Order: sequence, then structure tokens, then C-alpha cells
Amino acid sequence: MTNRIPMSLQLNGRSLNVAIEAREALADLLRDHLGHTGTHIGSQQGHCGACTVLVDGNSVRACLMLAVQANGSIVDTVEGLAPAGEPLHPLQQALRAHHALQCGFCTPGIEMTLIDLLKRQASPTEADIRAALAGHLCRCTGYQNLIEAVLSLDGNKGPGWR
Amino acid sequence: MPLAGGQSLMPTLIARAIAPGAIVDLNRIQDFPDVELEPGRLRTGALVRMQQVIDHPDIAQNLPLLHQAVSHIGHRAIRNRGTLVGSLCQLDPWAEVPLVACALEASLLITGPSGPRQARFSEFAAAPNRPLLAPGELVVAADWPLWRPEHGAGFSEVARRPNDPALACAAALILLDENRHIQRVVLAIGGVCPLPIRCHQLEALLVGKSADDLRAITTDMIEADLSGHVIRDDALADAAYRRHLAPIVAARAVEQAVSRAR
Repeated sequence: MTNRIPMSLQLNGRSLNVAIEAREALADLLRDHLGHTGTHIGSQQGHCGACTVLVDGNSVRACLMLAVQANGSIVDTVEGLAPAGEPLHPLQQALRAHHALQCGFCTPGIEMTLIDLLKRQASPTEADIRAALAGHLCRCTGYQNLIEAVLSLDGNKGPGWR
Repeated sequence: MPLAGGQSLMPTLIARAIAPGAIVDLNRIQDFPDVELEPGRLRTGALVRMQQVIDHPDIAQNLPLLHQAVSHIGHRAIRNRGTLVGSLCQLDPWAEVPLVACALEASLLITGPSGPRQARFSEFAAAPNRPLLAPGELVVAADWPLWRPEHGAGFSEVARRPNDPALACAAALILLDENRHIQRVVLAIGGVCPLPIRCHQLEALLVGKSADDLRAITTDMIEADLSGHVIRDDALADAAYRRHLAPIVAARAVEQAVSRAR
């Protein structure tokens, strides 16, 4: 028996109406129902941070929130940073320039956390960046290049910042 | 089963560790109190998030112990959802918020089929992960007693990584008299036993002592308070290590509280 609940959300600036089972997580809605597979599911326990998205402007773990709880909310995912066919977001360009990812599995969540950090603090210190990244597990590149990438932005958000 | 921040409940559901018949999402209920500062106490409603505690100027100023403790919890994305009252109801042995509730003697405002009632945290915290709630009862807010502004608050934690679950943590509140002697002190330890414990016997040893001439808190000084309690022993730390950490975090919390008392 499936009982789908109708809900609406604004995903990366687009208004959507969907129907989803109450038991499904926001990450399931994004990935399985809306095809936004940039939000990755790793630990599914809130540990790894790969599923981090913004809900009404605040970073949350999409695996630890029911999709229906986002009814009426503004949800921003990694796909919204650089829509298909458009240049990479300045943060992503900085990550690329500093080789701040290797396999990339954890990167979508890290990018959303950094967007959240840079929204609150234009020029975070290294300590601020480290504290923000502490909520993310990356097992292949280490964090040093990520820190250098963010520091390289130096408060200059540049064109194309969303 | 009520769902507030979900940062403990959701992992439990995902792990299929529990299968509640129904989950009631509290997040759209408007009637819970927010952060309310009143003479002598601060009230936090059922949906007050951890990050709100960090950002709220009234809490940093009037309840520095809670502010300090919550800064050790999770990461921003977790704190944006997780709630104070949720942590009090979850009663995880390693959690910081129950430790602060133990130290401050917080009370809980509960409502249910037989009407509203108030419970002291020490009665409410029956066992780890087992709050004393009757069927159908819901915690709507927590009340945190405030100390005089001259008090000093101290919090110390040892964890495998910053913001990980505490292996041991301690909370201290201290008031000094005009001669800088300890007039009033509260000390509680978390993470070491299945529930946070108040160190009444060590408190008694500290009262009247000069703040500028505090003897180190040693293992034997805290042994009386630990005796009779189970010491947690798990993959993160064995009982011997937790027993070793207890006086260390206690001493650090007391030292910090003394340094901040006026």
C-alpha cells in the first residue's frame, strides 16, 4: 500500500508539485523522483555530509529530513550552482583550479556547505573553513586543497555567484 | 512518536532499529514557546534548534553554559535541524544538552491527555534513551534556571574529533564571594556513565575554597561521586579511559568557570 502525499517546493528556482510517500527522505525525493542525482547519499546517518542541501537557505542533511517536511520550502541543490550549459559557479571554478576534489563523491555536499558558509561570511578564516568542512567526510583528497580554494576567493565572489 | 529535528530519530528509522506505528511531525505547530527570557529562568520551546541556541544573544549572555555546550554538538547542518528538547528526550549518554540540564536542574514542561505538568530533569531522565513520559505525553518546552550574572560557566569535552559524541564532558557553574572563595558550585559529568551525574561530593569539597588556590581535582576526589555508577565501556573508549578522563574534564570545567566568575 502506498499513500502518496501531494506537496510543492521550489527547487533551484523552479516551482514543482510532486506526490511522495511520507516515509521518503528529501534525498530520495531529489534523486529518485526528480532526477537530481547530484545530491549523493553516503552514510545515510548524517555523518558523511554528501547529501547536504539548503532548505530555506539553511544547510541540512537531505537524508535526515523527510521530503514532506520540505513542503512549501525553497530547496537548493548542487545542480542549481551551475545549470547545464552554463559555466561553472565561481566556487566550483576555484575548487577545479585548486584540484580540490578527486573522486568527487562528497563534493556536492561540500559545495553546498561552502555556499552556506560564504553566504554568512564573505571572507572566512582558515579556521572557519576547517570548522565548516569538519561535517564532511572525504576519503580521497584530504581537505587542504579545499581550504586553499576557498581562501583564494578572498571575499571576491565575482560574476556568476548565486 | 513525535518528530522534531529528526537528527536522532531519522538515523534510527533508516537503520530500521524501530518501527513506530505513526510519526507526528511537530514542525508546523505554531504554539510552542520560542526562546523566552524571564527573571530567573530561560524557556526554550520544543522547536528551538541547536543553531538558534548558538546565535541567540540572550542565551550567550544569560546562559553561557548552554551556549558553550551546544557549540560542541554536531555540525551546522545537524544543528540547523536538531532541537534542544529533542536531545533532552533522546537522552543519549554522550549528549551535551542533558549534561547541562543535569547541572542546572532544568525542568520540562509536559502536556498530555491528563493535562500539563512540570518535571525536574533528574526525575524525567529515568534511563538512557528512556525519558519518563506517559503514553501520549509531549515535552513542549524546557526551563533553564539562570544564575546571577557574576557567575562563571565552564564546559570541557574530550571526543575523538571536535563535535563528535563526547567520551567525557563536564559542566561547571561557580559563584565567588567578595574574597574570591567559592560560594556556590555545581559540577556535572557526562559521557562517562549511562546518564549525566551531579558530583555532589566533589562540590562539597570545593565550597569555601579560594579560587586562586584550587587544589588539582584528582581521580580519588571524583571516585566518591562515580561509585555505584556503571562506567561506559564501548568501542570508542573503555571504562578505564573514561574513568581517567572524568577528573580531567571536571578540572578543566571548574578552572574555566572560576576564570569567568566575577
